[in-house]
Amino acid sequence: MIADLSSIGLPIMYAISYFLLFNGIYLLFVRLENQNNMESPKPDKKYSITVIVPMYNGAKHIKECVDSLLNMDYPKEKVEILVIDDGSTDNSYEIAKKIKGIKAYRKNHAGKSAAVNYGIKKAKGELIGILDVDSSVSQNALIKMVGFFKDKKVAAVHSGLRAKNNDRFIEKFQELEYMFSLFFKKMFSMIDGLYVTPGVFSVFRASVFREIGVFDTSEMSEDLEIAFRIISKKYVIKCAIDAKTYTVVPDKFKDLTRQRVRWNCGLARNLSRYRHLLSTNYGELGYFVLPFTIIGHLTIMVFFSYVLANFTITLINNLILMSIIGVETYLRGMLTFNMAWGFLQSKIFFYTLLTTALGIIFLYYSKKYTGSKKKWGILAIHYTLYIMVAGFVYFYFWIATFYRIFRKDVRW
Amino acid sequence: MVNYRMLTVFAITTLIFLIGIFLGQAIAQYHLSDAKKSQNKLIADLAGYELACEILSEQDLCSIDFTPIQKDRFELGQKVSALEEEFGRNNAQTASLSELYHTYQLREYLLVKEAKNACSQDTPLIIFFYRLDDTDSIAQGRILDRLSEKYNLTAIYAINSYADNPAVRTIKSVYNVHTAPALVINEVTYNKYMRLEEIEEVLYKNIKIR
Repeated sequence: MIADLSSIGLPIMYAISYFLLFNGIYLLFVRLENQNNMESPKPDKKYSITVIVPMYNGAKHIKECVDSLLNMDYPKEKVEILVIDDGSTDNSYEIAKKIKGIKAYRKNHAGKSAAVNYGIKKAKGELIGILDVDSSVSQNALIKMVGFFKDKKVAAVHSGLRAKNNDRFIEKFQELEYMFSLFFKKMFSMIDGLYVTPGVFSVFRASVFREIGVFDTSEMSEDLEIAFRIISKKYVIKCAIDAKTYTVVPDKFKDLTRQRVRWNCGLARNLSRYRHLLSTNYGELGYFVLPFTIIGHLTIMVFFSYVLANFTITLINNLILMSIIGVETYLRGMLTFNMAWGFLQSKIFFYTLLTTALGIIFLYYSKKYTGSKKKWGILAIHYTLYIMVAGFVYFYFWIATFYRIFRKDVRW
Repeated sequence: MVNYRMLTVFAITTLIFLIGIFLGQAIAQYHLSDAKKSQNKLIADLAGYELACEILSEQDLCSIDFTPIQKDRFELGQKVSALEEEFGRNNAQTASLSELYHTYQLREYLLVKEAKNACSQDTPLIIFFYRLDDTDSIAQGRILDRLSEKYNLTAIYAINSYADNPAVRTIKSVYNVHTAPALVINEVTYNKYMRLEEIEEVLYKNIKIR
């Protein structure tokens, strides 16, 4: 019989419980301190803006994407839209060229960062927005974002990103994940700890590119790298949770895995590259947000490695037992298994109860501030399913990440 | 600059965490005291049975039904196992509870054996000697659970063969038990793992199954 790992299970659960409680209570404090600051500030002036749409084989989405930009509630003379075709092999450039009110450029295929950099060189606006071709913006998204630029230390603003497609289970999973993630990003933004500027309509102060340089074309997670570079210069990134923008999320597990492998690699690489940010010199970003991001990912790896190892050992032991006593006796034994002192009386039940309560509070806030129209009953079902599978799914993404790194097979 | 939010959250989380540990310990202590209460009740019941056996004539002795205390003892056994899981087998309190439980089982075994012999009953009596964390012992335990369920047997006593207890050492010596798992079925020793069919064959040969 293989010895089980129950002796190390309790210390692991205690450590995870403390981590989750601390993190949850901290963010709850941030939310309570800022309950009157959740709405985006009103703009002091109408900045001129150039929106860059990098495009590679985006024929399916370009019309919707550009139409949403043209329909924004913002003075038309202040908005310049540049579609940069990155050497598409379909007819997306031809489609873009026919759309009135925008400028379309074509260049040789060199990746998204190179396309954005090409656009930055041509941009005339005081602000530069970047919008992926498979994404779109709501009418008032921009007006909700520009008000943050009153503050000179704000270098970029993250929009209120939501999942556009939500029919399949995998899409619903991401829809809820984006909803939660947006609320937490808003909380991080409140403490100047936001460290990402996604391609779905992040708006930058144009002068920042002159100061820190443009996107790094060697980076797969260029949106994360530029955010770390911005923060390194003591600028901050804000989140406009009420600036609704939408993106198409992967509808196949394979595509989602590839996306998350890229994100994980980008996070690991940039955390290593910008490790100097893990310092009190960078405020709560340095001593709360980044350490807890790292610990969070490590927790997933440690906990689910433990669960997997324990499950494997238990499975092997039970198979050995079944081979000795026979299937019928084994199954009958399972039915009469002593559950008298079950989970409800376990040592970590109290923590489970508290972290569940915190999860429900954050679900409420996420729904409220992202303006989700989902009914509570449906949301409760989705949330329960999400909680049940999310940890395993993220663990799988890390396993896939390590596997791809080992095989040197990390692609876009 | 001191971040008072961080300090406050640290203090609150630590306080909540300590309350959680305290509650966990309180629940565990409750389990322990509950098991101790059950054991004390069983010991008192057994003493009553022992006294009854001494008082009653041989004919009346045969009318005693040991089933209620045997069922209680089975439940206590489950509680002791759960406590060993919860506190660890090396915990002083669970070790003492477990030792008392072993002693109790042997006392009950002797009493039931005496009644059985005095009344020429054919009730099967089984002592199961096991070793902790041993696959064959776990398998034998499951076989006996199945046997107990199938024939409604209550006089099965599970003894940790390596328990540091003089009564256990003595009974092992009396029945010449030198391995684990081992079974003593109606005072005949089998120093091996036995399949369900083998045990049934032994019992069928010797007794009429109830």
